[in-house]
Amino acid sequence: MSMRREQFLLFRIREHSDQAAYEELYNAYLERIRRYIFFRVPKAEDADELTAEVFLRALEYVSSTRVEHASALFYRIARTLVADFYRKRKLTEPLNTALHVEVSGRQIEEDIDLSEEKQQLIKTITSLRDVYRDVLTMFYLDQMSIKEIALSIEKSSGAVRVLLHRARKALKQSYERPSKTT
Amino acid sequence: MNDLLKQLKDLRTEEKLGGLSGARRSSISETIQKAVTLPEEEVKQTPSFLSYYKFISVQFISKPIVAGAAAFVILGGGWLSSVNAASQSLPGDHLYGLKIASEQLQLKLSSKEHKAVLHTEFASKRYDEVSKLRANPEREVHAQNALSAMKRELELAAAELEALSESGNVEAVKVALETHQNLENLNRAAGDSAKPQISEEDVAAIREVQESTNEVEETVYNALTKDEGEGKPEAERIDIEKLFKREMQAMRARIASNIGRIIVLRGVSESGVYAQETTLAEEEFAMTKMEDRLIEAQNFMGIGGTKRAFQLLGEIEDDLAAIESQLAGIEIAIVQASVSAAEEVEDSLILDVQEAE
Repeated sequence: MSMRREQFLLFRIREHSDQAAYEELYNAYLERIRRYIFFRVPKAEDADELTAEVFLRALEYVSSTRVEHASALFYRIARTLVADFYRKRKLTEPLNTALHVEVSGRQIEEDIDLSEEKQQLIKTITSLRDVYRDVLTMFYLDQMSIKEIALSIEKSSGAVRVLLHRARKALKQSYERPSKTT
Repeated sequence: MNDLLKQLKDLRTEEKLGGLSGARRSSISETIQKAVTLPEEEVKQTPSFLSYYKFISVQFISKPIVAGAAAFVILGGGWLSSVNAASQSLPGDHLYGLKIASEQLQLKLSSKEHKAVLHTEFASKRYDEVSKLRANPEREVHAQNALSAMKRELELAAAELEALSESGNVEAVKVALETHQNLENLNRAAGDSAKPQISEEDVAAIREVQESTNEVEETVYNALTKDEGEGKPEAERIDIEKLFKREMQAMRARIASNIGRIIVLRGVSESGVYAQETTLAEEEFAMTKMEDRLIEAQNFMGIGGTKRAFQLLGEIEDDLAAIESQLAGIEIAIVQASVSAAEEVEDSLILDVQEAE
């Protein structure tokens, strides 16, 4: 979605309470926000619930306030909701540790439809640092531009380029090509 | 690497990477739709021309005009005196916009190589502003904004430096040294602020400065040590080669010494005082492999891969240290075992004498 289109939809929602406009907006961001949350919570069902909550909370905001970038708003709400999710579960260990334990403990089941290399790639991606995994998934899976990523994670475009470069390096270093069994 | 990234793109819809199936998407959409009800009385079926005009005029007319007018004012007359007056202004002051605009102009007019240095200078200015603003609690919001701006400048400095070093620009090392100096000054300033009366927010702010500068420092270090053999000043290259040779000689001396120790320890082990045959065999094997690794480092140095060559030396150094520590442990254990054995012999001799008496 172009920036102009997004601005127009936000205008429609704010000035005319246009439900269809909001539907178009959240459909454009649904998958990326869900993916962002997916790596931060233990279960897919939790991710679904929190994703819906992001867009419900965002609606209150966009209906009454001029928002420059919907992407930044959605990601900010997503971060807050993930933090609240763990606070409610009353984890005693620090949030990052908890996330590491929970997410890395997610079972990657063998999928006969996926090649060994792809399965290995999935394992490698899920084991990377959050920030590296985020920029890689945003850039390659969500096909966001550098500027869009920068707005979403509230960093400069230059910083995102550096992160992306380091993330690719980390991926390459962590990836171990599966050996062919004879 | 390209193959890996291509495979990653193919996994876009993969559920294990957060991809959404049709059913899941519908389920989430339904949840949102059920809860989303915009007030019906406010819904206008036909938007008025006036509201669309407002939207279009802001997006396409007034924003570009304001940007153009600002540029015109900056480039027009009264520039120098205004900029001088603005240089002491703080966020929230009337002339602060002019201060920032003049910095942006400096960036635009500077060479690519100099941008990283400028960003670190601007980061220092932002930090000065934070310190001055913190003196007035009512300006805390501005202080926070200045701190965010400072971090952005450091990120931009890191990005410029990384781009410079990747492009193989010979100026990268000089620029890296200048930014290193600026960062040291910034760190020192941040450290000086750590007085006993300082608040928790200030401590957190200082820590953020230091973390941000550490990241740029890492980029600076990479720029300083990265060398693919071309364009480096001759004197600098010779110094690095001499350093490398010295390190190699020191490593070889240590390896020879450790092999000697292992031979002695094997002799002791075979005599039965303290058996460590397996461990010693492993370490002897590791020592013989070290020479291969030293040759690999030497080859990298030969083709100009200085950074990789020193990296390999670092890895060999770590492994040597680990092996030396193990050998020391074995030597201590042997000494203790020998002492115990000697004590037992002494005890049994004493007993024999006593019995004889």
